[in-house]
Amino acid sequence: MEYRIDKNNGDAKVVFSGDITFSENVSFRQILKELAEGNVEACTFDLTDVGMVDSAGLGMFLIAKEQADTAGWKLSVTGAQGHVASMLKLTKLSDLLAG
Amino acid sequence: MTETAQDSIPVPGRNEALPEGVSSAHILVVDDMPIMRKMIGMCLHRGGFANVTYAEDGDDALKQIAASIPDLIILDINMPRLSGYDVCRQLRADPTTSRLPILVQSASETAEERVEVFAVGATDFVSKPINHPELLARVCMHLENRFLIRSLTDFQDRMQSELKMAREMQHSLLPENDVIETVQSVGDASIEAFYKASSELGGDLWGAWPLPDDRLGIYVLDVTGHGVGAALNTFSLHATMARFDDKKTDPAAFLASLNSSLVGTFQLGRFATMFYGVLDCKTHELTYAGAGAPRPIIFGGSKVRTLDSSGLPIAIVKSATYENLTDRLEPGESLFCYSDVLIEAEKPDGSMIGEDGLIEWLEHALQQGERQSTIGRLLERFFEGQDEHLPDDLTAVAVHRVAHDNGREGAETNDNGPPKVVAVTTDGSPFFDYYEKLQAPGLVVERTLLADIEDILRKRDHVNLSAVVIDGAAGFETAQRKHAIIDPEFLEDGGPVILVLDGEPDHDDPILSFNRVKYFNGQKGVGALRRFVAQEADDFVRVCALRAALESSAPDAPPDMNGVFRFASRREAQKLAMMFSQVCNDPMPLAIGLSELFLNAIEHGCLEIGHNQKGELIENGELAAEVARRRNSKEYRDRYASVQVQQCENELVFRVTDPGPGFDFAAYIGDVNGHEKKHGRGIVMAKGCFSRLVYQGNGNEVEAVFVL
Repeated sequence: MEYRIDKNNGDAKVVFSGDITFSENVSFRQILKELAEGNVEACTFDLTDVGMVDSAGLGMFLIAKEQADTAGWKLSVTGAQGHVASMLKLTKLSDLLAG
Repeated sequence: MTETAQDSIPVPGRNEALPEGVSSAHILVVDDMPIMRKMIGMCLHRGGFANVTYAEDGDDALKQIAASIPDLIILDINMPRLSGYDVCRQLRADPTTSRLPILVQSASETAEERVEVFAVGATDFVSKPINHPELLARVCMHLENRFLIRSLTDFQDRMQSELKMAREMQHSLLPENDVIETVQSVGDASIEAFYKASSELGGDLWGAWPLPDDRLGIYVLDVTGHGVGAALNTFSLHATMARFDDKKTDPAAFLASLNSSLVGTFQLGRFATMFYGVLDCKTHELTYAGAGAPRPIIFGGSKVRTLDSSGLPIAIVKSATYENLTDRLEPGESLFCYSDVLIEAEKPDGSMIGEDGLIEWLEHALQQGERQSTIGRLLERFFEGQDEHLPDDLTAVAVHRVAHDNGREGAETNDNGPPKVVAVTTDGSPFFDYYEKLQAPGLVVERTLLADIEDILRKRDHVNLSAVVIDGAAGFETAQRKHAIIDPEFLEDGGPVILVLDGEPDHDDPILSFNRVKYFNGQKGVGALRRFVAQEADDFVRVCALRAALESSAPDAPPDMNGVFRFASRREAQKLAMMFSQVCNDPMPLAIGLSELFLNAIEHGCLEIGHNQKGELIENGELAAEVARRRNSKEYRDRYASVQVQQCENELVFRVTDPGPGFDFAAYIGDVNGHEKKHGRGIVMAKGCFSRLVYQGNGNEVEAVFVL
């Protein structure tokens, strides 16, 4: 997995590419740390270029969601397609993460 | 020797006291000069080391080390008899001392000597005259390294053994054999289940249970994460299930109850995906609910379909609700549940298998043999493309419901009623009750005691007798008496005789000496015996039907030969080959070709006799004995080869499959001189009989086309 954080005042966008799986949990925590330190008001996870997400990856989205709710910023997920979209649909997390 | 505070030497760079393991370390000082031993000893004592012993030369040192390995050695290089170099070499060559810290001290100090010291395996070097603080500093450093490494290794070993224990515990949560047996008989189904924990320990689990009113429940679940944490969550989920026995007939309520009790107990970001279904075995209705598990697949009927298992995973949101959906799982259909690793793993080309890919593989595997073993074939293909260590746990469970109708799988009925099985038992046998329960759809089982059997055989005609089961629990002689009563004509026709054994006998037990008998270990349970007998009876009925059709068919209108036929012995193989060949006006070529292929499947496939080995056995006249030995051995006893016959317009396609390891067919098939050779002759002969002969897989599958 690779990522890039674009920031525009309080709006952040994390653009992911590659696979989001269990082995990515260290870099994912790094993202969450950067978001926490960056005074974000809203953040979008752009999954357009993500080919695959496993259940641990979904768990990381949930952690992000929890952090957003606690710190009072808004998290939304966009661009999911293929396997990623069907995983979000299968687990109904698409509703939970819709924003 | 007691030391006062004034006498002690401080270790350079160190303020705090030595750790206990370090100060009580055993140090061996090796020097031929008494004065040097004394000096070094005193230095060590002042540094806080009390456990110091001494050796006078190399020999003495090795002797002492053999008796008790010290924690560190301070070794002189120039000594009479055995030098310090030799001591080093010998210690390093011995695995028990190969990592022992050796501190070499020497007066002469050339660059070459230093190189030599390290080359023979010394850990470090101090020069004479000894500088006491330096010696102490080096001793402390090497001892601390040693203790740190030791405790790290201990820690790692403990972690490994704890992971192993957790893996074993996770395994112990899987359903026991007797539960599976019960579920199979309630559901009139066979269960094919695979479970492999990943090396990192994941959180997969599956289970099944019988429910009131001829229903059964089955679940698969996957707890996210890896390691002991995931395993603990799995245990807690498993334990929670037991609290909701009253909800087990209502999948949505069951999932909701699990969810509400587990929300808040899993760590943030951890959850479990799950599928739970309840099958009513009378109405064949399947009620199910999903919590985000991969979509189960129903196959075996007219169309492969997936079940909607979407839903919020367990333990995320307190208020999650689940919905009951319904489908049907008819006799002859299979329900396949699996964990996500099966669709998320990569194909050899690097792309993800995906649900579509899995369904495609499943359909292919289904066509390759019997439905009841589809998952095994599917996984074989899956593992071909995977590393030995899977990234996640793998669970694959299928419930194959037995077909009831006269379809391709069921025992066919004829005008004389369903096929019959006679079971000959003995009063007091541990398997006595089995034979009552052997009854399967489309199969009539009569239980009889030895004393009554003649009476029964006289009363009945043998038209539909399709298998005889002999209870062998009372030993060889009783079994022999029972066997002697079987109608010789039935045996001659290839009628299956199943001898039920009480456990696994020794290889020289006379009970294994019966000819043309199939052995079955009764301890595998009544469900397994029922499937075994039903399958044998089915095979026999099929062959009889084909034989009758061939006998009565007009020469220019061949009968329907389509179907899958199993065979386990050379005799069955030859009988089948002869029978199929009757369809031709000139049966010889087809009979020869098929016999070759079928015999190969038995000898090389089912019994795994190598080509060279077979040659030797033939030369020594031992082939028949070896075949008999293997057929009766536990390892090969349950193996079958099969042939799938497909009738096209003017050709017959035979696809022969055996369970063996295959062979390097290219070496034989392309060899024009094969006919002259000792091995591979059969293949060349067979090749001459068919218009096309193609080996596939590892060589354990061969397709032969015969033009009529």
